Amino acid sequence: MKTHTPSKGMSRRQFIKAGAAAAVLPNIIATKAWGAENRAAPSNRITVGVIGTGGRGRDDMRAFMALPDVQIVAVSDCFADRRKAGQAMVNQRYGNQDCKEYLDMHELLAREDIDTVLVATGDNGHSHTAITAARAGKDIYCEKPMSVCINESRGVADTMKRLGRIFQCGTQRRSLGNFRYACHLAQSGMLGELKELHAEEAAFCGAFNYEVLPEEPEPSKDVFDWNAWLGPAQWRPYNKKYPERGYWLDHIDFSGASICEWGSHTVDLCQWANNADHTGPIEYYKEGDWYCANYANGAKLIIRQGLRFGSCPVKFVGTEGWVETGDSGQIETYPKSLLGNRGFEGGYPQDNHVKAFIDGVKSRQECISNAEVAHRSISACHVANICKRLGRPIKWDPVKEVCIGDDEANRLTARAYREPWYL
Amino acid sequence: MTNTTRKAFTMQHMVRYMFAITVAFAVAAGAFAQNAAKGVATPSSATEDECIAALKGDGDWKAKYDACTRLRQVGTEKSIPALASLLKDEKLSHMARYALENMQYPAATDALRKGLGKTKGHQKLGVITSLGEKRDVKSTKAIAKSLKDKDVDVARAAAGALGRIGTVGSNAILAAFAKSAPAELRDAVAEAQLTGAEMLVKDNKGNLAVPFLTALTTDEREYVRLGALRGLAAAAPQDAVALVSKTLTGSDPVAANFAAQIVAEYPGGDMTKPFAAAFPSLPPAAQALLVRGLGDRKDAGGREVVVTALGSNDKAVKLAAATALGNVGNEADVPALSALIASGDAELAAAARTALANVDNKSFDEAIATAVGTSSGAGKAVLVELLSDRMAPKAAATALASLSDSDAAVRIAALRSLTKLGGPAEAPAVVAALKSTADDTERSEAANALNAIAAIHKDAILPAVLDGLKGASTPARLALLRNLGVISSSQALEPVLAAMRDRDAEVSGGAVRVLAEWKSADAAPHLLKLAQGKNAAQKDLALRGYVRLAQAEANAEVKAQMLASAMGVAKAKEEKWLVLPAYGTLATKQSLDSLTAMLDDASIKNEAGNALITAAAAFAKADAANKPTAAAAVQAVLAKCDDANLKERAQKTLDSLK
Repeated sequence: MKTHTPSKGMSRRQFIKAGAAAAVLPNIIATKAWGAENRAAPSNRITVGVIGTGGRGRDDMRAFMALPDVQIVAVSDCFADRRKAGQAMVNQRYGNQDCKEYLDMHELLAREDIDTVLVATGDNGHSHTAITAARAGKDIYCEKPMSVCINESRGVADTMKRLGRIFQCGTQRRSLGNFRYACHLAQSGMLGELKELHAEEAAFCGAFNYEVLPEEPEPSKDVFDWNAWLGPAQWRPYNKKYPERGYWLDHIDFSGASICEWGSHTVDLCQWANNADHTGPIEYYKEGDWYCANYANGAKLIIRQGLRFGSCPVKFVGTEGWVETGDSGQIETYPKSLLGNRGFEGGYPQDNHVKAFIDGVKSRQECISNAEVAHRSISACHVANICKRLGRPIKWDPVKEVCIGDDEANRLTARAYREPWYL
Repeated sequence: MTNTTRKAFTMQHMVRYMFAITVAFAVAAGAFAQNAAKGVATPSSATEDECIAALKGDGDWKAKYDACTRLRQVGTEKSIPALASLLKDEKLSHMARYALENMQYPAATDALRKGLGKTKGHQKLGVITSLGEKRDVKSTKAIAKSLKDKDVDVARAAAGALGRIGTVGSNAILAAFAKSAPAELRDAVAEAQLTGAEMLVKDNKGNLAVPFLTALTTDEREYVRLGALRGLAAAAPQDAVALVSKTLTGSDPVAANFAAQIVAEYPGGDMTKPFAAAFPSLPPAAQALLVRGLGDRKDAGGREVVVTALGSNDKAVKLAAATALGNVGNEADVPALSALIASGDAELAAAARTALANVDNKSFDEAIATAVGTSSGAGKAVLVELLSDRMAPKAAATALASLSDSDAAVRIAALRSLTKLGGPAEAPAVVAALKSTADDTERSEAANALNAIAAIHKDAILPAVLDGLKGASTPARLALLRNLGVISSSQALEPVLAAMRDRDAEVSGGAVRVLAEWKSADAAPHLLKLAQGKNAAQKDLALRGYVRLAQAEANAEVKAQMLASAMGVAKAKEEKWLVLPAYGTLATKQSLDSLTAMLDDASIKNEAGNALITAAAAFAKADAANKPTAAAAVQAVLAKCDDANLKERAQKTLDSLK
């Protein structure tokens, strides 16, 4: 097993250089040579390798393949059936057989002709895969939640910065009209001084799960690569339940359950609305049924259930008004004049977000959901989870990123990677 | 319609939302099922002594795994020897580190350091990594030896750990090793060098990192050069401006773009002005990038240079400045940006418009409102709409005043503004605009505005609409009738019915189309009556409208009556085909019986069969006791229908009912 890719040239492709030379704001490299179907000529396309071709991965792939100057050229997944399905989907879209499939993601990452990587593995795979891809010189679109614990996403953010990589976390609600408008109302002061930031957690998740399941016969690596799926998490014998999303979503070793599942979107939006992209709350506590956190500026984050308007709703309350919206596209404000007759479409497509990532790849400008921003958002979720696990309030230092005066809590902020993985 | 316009609940909207809801429910249902199936284990509450005993005992792997997991959280120095004893264990070494790595006790680091000499392969790699995480300077020499380990993974981990330790000594070791590092280690060593320099900067020893980073700025690998550039700017703030300027003007366009990003993110408000001061000495392409960076810094300290850049003769610089003012501009910049909007250059105008729309500064609203008063034509039109985009307090008043502008573009912009924020108070003016224009586009914009207001305020604008119908031209009457359809209330229905009797065939026909699209059940009897008439075109429209209302009817009994009436009216097979799908939404025994009887009519049997399958499946789903009845109905489809696809669907449904 390799920890990262063998050495190779890391230079960006020639067309990026050529385009960047003609720097006209927003410094997006113009793709002049168009091929058939209004697509950029092959030499002008940003190439994408996909790691994780399950349901979410294939959904993201559609957004990438919709872009005329992008081409997916390779897929990898530890499930053979998902890998083949992803490959077939790509080849059908492009009408050729050019997309290659790899069991070992390191082989995909070793390809010098791949510019960017879509990481859409399970939650446990996001951080280490993104870091490994960055070490191979790729720019990365990584699904949320970005990490299973705080030191992982700190590692991602540091690595992206260190290696000059462009990163966009799949928190695509930052690129959707209704959520953007809600955040605009909060950021612009139109709600007055912000007092409450309500973030919905996923009601469909269960309690934290800590169990180690009984051993079952491990499938052939050609069918499912258990060791690759497990990645840096603590080793245990195979059981077929682990890789089922409905199972690992609540398992403490592989995900962050309800708070991370939707909080990676909703807490993220609260962070943005509160102009707190590069910091976080300073104290966490339970109040009634909900987990809350106070920011230094006096705003209170409330992670809860029961907001309106479909999945992933948020509500921002200020001294002069409030706004509430969710995936239904519905949005309500007080006073109503804050909204006028505006209306937004429902759903939560990632098309705009993926397009913004590709723009960032070309211009080298940081994306709206860059690694530092996404790390801060998921950190707030993780600290809330630590508060939940330990059953006591937590004081948090957002500068040093440590729990203040609580060694036990600090131990839960980081996990040592199983060798041979390392941050 | 624009994205920010209140939309009717379009089919596309519905499909997207229903997809979202379906996915959410599917995930939820799956997760609930999973939770119900699994026995959720709780965390261990074993004492430290019990855990230590487990580690020392002869228990199986699982017992020791659980002990390590628990000690990670609650272990004290007392548990360190027992944990350390596992470092050589192939299966449990990482679990020992899982506990030891997060312990702040010096003894935990000592144990790992001692473990270094006792492990090999992956276990050694893990111990090296943990020592790196702890930044254990005392391990430097021992780890450095592992750079030459025959196991490449161990050597890579050693490089990474030396980087994290991040002293001058570890950096020097890495720099020396890099000169002759084997190919398979080069990337890991380069990354470690960047990390090592980064650690020096974190430790406020940036000056010591400069030589190491400088050496990397000429590396053949782009990511190394970019990383070194960013690191060097952080390590030597006093030289950051010169470094960025040099890179902005260099021959590497990717690095130049990256330098603009460094300007954007560089910490410290006091750095804005030094970066800005470099502007005059740069060539235009570099100026454009610098201005981009200054804009992205979002520090008003950069405004002065950005304003200067707006006056540049170079379009790229001008464009960068217009964009940047969206982040750093103030109300004094409104006239200049307004002038760009009116300049006729589409790119500059778009950038200026975006800048004016984006600034979160209420004082801009007043400045833009003032600029409206001094502008004209296309430029004024943009400013009028901008006010509504910004939800400016004067937006509605400005839009109302602009409805009487002599320029059609301004009037249209005003109507678009009122589409976004108009209410009952503005409705009479919009109706007047709709009536007064002879231009189809302008009338269409007025109708859009009125419909957007109607969609929210319903009957509140009815007086304005009814008043508007008096003396209106035919196109205006048609638009107002469609607006009544948006309201779709009982009070709005009467004037539509009256219009159906209008002598103007265009108006009466339009009224029928409005009635056929009516959203409330009030229209049903009128539609049925029309469907019974002799006018074929009206009959078809009315029947479709009636069936649509029947399909939406919640009360099963009423729905059944309506569908029976519709079938009574439908004479031709094509008309019956219109009605039959709606039967699929009626999951009752009566519906199944009616549809089963229709299977004997050769002209409609396949359409009836299709609806019967849908209704039968829903009937069975409502109550498991209904399954035999539902199955019998589907059996009838299999027996009497001849369409192959239909029969396949019937068989699948039948199988599911078993």
